[in-house]
Amino acid sequence: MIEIFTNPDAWYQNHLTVIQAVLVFSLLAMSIQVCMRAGVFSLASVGFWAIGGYTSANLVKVHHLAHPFAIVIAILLASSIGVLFSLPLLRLRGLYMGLATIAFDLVVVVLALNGGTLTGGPLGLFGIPVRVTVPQLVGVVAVVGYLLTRLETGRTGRYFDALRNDEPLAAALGIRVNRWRVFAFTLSAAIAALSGSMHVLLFNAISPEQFGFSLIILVLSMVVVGGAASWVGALIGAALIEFLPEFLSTFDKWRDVAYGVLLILVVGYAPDGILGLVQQGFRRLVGRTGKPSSTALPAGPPAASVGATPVAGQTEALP
Amino acid sequence: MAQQISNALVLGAIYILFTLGLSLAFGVVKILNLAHGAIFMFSAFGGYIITREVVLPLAVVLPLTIVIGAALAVTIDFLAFRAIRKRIPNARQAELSMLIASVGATSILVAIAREQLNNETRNIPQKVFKVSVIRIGDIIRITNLQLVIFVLGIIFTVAIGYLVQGTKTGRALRGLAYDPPTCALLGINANVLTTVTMAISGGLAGAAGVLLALNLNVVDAEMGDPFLLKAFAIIILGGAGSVPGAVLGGFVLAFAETMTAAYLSTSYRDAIAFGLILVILLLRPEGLLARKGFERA
Repeated sequence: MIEIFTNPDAWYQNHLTVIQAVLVFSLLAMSIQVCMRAGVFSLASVGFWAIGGYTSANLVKVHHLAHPFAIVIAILLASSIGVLFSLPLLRLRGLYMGLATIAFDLVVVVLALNGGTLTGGPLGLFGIPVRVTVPQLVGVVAVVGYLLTRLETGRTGRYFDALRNDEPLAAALGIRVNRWRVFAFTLSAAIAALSGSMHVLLFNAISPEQFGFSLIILVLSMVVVGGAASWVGALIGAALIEFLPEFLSTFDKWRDVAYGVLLILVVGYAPDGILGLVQQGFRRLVGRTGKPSSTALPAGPPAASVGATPVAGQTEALP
Repeated sequence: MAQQISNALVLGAIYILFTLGLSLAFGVVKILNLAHGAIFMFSAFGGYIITREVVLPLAVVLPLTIVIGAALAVTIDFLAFRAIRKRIPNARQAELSMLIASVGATSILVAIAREQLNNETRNIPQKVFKVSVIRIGDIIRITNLQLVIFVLGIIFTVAIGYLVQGTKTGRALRGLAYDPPTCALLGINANVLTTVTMAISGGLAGAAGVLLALNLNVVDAEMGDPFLLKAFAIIILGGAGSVPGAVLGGFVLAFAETMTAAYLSTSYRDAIAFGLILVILLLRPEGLLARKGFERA
């Protein structure tokens, strides 16, 4: 890891795949985070990731479409499916929504396994032309991040906060609850499809074993460990989880044990994730009067107020 | 056809044993314990370790693995879930955090088992239970082990059903599932009940683990994964925390899968479970047998 300072070029070359993975999966993590911010616990992103990936792969490889068009079509397709599915799915709340969307992801896996030439079956599609470079990917993440910042700090962000904390209250305030839930779900599908498209155009292959239950768990861990309050948390989580194997390599064969312990410690003792810890530290540094960073959500109610009635406008911790 | 039915009954019994524990923890203490599959696997693994040293009969191994499963579940609850329940007042966030913590616990258990098994598939020695084939008529073949699994499945289910519906503890459990603050006012100790629930849940996983390991003659670190996803489907079919629901869901899924594999195609067999989850959640989100008003949506 010291190499990053002594010889940045070599470090970059050695870690290229990990860096690419961080960027691609940070987009996927953001797509889950956006939903959670609006109080929609949807894990359907992984399915939309696959739909986006296969669509882009087919369009670029078989139909020789220019990749920007392919990506746009993939996003539109995933968003349309997202709107359709959101209508029945959004009746569910909490863990049941999570379970239903996990089921959606696994149905996508089965469809991919049996999809004939469209998906390449169990082997998947490979030999897709590589069209995306790392600087372009950084640009895409930056643009998505900028848009999400606008969304988080603007009117929509406040709508989302209201929806997450108290739906009846949000409805009473005149927020069209269903419309905004559909919006969050569809936006999430679009970002996920973007991530999937980037993945196939970067790693030139996609197969069903890449997006099963393990990807759901991986991305969910990224969001929760990084901090679910903002897309920045998703980026931090993606970087941390993707680089973790390297940090933990000293543990050798006990790497997964260390990973498990870390996960338990983070959710148990830093419920707002790494981002929450950073913000806490920052606030302490600046002093109590310091203005919290713009992407920050106010921290959850202090432990002392457990059971107290939430005051309107007081933001509870996610989700 | 008769053979398919008996296969489906045995598969259903294993599903039910596995799901009952998960469903109890989910329905009563609101823990979607993704480590349930790992506890199931680790108990089978424990059975393998024990029988590698001394060959004991199933009547001794089974209680031992039940204890292993219960101890694991209670330990995970103490080390991982308790801190979350204490520190996170928001119920929804606590649910999500416990789900992630259970992923961490899974990672630990699977890593240990994988290391000990050298990434290989092992089995519990045949001497633990002498398997022989029973023929009923000309068409049905069933092993005596499968018969034992089916009967044990019924016994455990009835016992848990009685515990939940017929005892005072069961009434407290149902109360806890419905309204924890009121339960606290009535003097029900939520911590003790949670520990009891997790112990029962883990014990059932332990029994299912060793029985499945014997039936398939396989012990490996990943054996819990497919069951976890099937169990989701069964819980959703039957309703969380509902014992009759788990029975119905287990048999429905087992029959659907067996018939699909036999008469349609094996490649779509696994789609059945997930398709069922989607259809049921969309049509009848409270589960087939759940009472009205049970919190689901």
